[in-house]
Amino acid sequence: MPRASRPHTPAIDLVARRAYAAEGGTSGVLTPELEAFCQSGISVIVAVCRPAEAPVAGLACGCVILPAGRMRLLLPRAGNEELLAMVERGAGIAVTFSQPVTHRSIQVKGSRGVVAAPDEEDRREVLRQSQGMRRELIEVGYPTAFAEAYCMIDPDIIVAVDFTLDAAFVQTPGPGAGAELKS
Amino acid sequence: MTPLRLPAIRNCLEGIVPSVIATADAGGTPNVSLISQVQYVDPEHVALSYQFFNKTRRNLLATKRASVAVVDPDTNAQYRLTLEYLETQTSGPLFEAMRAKLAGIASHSGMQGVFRLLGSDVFRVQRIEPIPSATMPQPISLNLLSAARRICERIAVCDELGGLFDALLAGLQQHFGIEHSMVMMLDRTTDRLYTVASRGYPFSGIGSEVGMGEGVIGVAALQGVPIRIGRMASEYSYGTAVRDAALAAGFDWGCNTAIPYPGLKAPQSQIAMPILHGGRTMGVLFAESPEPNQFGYDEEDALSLVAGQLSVLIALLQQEEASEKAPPLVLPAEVTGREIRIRYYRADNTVFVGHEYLIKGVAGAILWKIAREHDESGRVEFTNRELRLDPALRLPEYAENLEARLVLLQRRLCERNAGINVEKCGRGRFRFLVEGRLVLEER
Repeated sequence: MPRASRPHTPAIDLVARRAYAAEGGTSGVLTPELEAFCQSGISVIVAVCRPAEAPVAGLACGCVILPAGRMRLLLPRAGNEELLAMVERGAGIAVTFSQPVTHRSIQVKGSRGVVAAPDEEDRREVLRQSQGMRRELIEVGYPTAFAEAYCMIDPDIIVAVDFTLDAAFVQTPGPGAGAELKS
Repeated sequence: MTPLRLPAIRNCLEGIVPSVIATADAGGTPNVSLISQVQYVDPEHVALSYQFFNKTRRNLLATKRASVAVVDPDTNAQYRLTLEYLETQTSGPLFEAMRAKLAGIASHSGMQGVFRLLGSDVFRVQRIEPIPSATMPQPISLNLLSAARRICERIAVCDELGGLFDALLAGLQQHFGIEHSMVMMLDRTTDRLYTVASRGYPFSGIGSEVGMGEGVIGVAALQGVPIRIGRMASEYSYGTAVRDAALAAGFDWGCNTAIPYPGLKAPQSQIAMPILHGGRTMGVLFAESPEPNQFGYDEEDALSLVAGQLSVLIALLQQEEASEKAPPLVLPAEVTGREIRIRYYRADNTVFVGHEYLIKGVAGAILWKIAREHDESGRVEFTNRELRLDPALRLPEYAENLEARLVLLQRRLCERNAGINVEKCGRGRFRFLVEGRLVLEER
């Protein structure tokens, strides 16, 4: 894990979440600022699981916030067949967003996932976000060739997983990591 | 197609690119996070660093299942491992190797205060599955097996210990491209390691010491396990280790009997290979580089073969010298020339020649014994055997590193240009040569 050039702490997000609620913000799982963070072009990793089954990990390449407290996760179909099949069988979903230059991380938990076909806007968005991640990796010191390979996306093999956001947790390393982000 | 095996993807397990770990609680609710370290244990097992009692940890204890995605930092090849949790180790070789590596990762990522190894969670790898990704060609690297063979051949023909160490370090440079290396031997009477050979430094540092458990070298010696760091961590740096130990013991750091350690000022990669004989550490082969991530799993394996061969040769050379006998030979003592004053401190066998510190410990005691005998009787030739049997020297019964101590003494005398030389004159025999008139002073 490379050095964060602008380190973040769990307390910053916990305080901000409470302040948002105190100022009369909506009762959704994510504040507008956290929604923007998730879509800002950073690391997106995913896990799915069903009761009594083994979890499955995956690397995603972006997300889009949908209306009604739902999120669209965008990831390659190839290599994630088992993960997608589990979503279709009603698996719980966890997604962690991490920004390499700050180590700022949040995890969302969700349910009622469905596998969907992305539209053109999703494909443009996934390319934009993956370029953001590429810049982050270079900034923290990965070789450019590695960052480009890691973030190379074929938009035509992207698939969407739409799910309902149930909760969010701060996951930035440090005291307070793991606490729920709620009002 | 041959199923993917763990040894083939070890480069993903260097901690250069964080891995992804998915777990789930008993109700099936998943959790996903980045993990800084997945350690290769053997072809069927990996170990994950347990740093915090967090959701991942609780889930692992509850359900014992994990799915981990790993990435090769050179090629971007990606794999998913299905893991079954077996046990947590909180001490011992695996734990120490991971702790050192994690310290390097934490130091590099600015997480020194946050990342601390609480345990090594050992898992059985049930399945490895490739994840399609845009891959880059594997970088061309050295043929390490061939390099190990060349060095083993080169050192096998050495017939004395000093030459063996020098041939080894020259071989590391020639065949492995390792520019900075040293051999340290363990003194069991003090539980400290002392440098007997080095290469690639501005000064040799022969005789400089490190304590058991101090820094990369000391931990490798104590645990009898290779320790390597790809991004140097301050807490494993030799300077920090020695300074801390000295201060803790109430020593005055900078005292004039400390021979400066020759290591790089700003190393990034380090590897310390224990030289083991009969399961016990007899010394450490150490290499370092100012470049990060120079010593991976393959380098560790190759150097392990070399250290194994080295250990056999060291044992063999010391065994052979012990079996030969030679009568003490008296030659007319040279009493002309400059005055060479040897000052000996009984308390810790410290020896000064003139005003300069030379050596202490067992090597100091040996020098004092032979200097006295030379002074009293003109004796020039000595045997290792008589040193071994001399109760005054209080050598450990098996004194397995006596020959190494003589190499140390010989090299220190040579470096200090002391006017005194110790020269081998056959197996288990050496000559004490003085270019002047000895004046001995005991305190």
